[in-house]
Amino acid sequence: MAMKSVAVLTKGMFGRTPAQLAVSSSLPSNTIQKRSNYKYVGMPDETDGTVAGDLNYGLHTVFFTELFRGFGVMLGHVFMEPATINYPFEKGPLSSRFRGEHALRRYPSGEERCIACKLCEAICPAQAITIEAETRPDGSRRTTRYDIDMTKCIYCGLCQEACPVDAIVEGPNFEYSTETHEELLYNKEKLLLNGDRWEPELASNLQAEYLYR
Amino acid sequence: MNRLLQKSVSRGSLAVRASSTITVKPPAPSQITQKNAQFDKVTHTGQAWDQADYRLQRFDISAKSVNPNVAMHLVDQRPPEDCGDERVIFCDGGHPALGHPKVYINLDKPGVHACGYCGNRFYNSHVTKGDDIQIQHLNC
Repeated sequence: MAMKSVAVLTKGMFGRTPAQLAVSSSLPSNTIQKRSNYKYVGMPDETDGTVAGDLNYGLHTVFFTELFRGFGVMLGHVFMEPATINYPFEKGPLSSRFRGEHALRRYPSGEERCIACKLCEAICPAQAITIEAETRPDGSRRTTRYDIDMTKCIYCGLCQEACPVDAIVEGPNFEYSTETHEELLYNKEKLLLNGDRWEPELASNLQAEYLYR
Repeated sequence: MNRLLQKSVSRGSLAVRASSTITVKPPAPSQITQKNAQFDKVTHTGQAWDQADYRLQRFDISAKSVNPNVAMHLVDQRPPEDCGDERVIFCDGGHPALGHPKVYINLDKPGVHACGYCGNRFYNSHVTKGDDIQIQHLNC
């Protein structure tokens, strides 16, 4: 009984106590909805208002327990794997739909896939692609010129979607910065070299995606 | 005095710069004959430039990149496929996902029939006898 009266006297003296819910009395009680499915994001109560709670709060304050709990968190982070990567040597994961540097692919026999249908040239919204075609000495119709202005390209990926034979693709390479503008005007030689260099990745990306297109 | 110094310094630096950019002048195009022409690497279109070609100056800073894998030569090395006495075959580039749209090829005519997409060649050995293998058809 005495303890209870002390608690009533000291209530709210040592820390934050739960605020009383202000209930408007003008509404009848059966129309008030009780909300329980929420998360309280404010400062948590430091004491529940009882003597034991106040005492606990006082002891935590006196012995700096917050400080040691903070050190504990720090010690835990020492042993955690870092979230950063050593970029030029390690790279983050890339989607198989990543649209990076362009490449012209070949068939396993070495024949170019591009048959100069010019669908990519037609669909390119930035008009970055230029194609000229001619019949080759062996009778096959292929491109004599396939130029992409990489400074015009907006990397929308419409060219690889338009291509019926997956000849022009946007590969996973995103590190091809140059010193001059001219080096970013890609011709067929450069695009085919890209294709030769990235073919394993390009083929595995297409293999992973072919059910979804 | 100062002006004199500046003059001499600038003249000296100019002289140094001029000496560092002395280049061998390329021969005139009229001097190139069949014998002394030295061509650079041949591109996939069969184009090559001799040493007097003025377009070579664009490769002063970085070298001309030429892909050595010419598709026409590579696909030529692949031997034609014997399809027995099949009259119609299809070609999908060898893989349903990574190949090309499926095309049907009629092999009735004697000779080798190439797929218009991938250049793979097929022949019907029932009608293709002897020198008929030299006949090239392109189906596309």
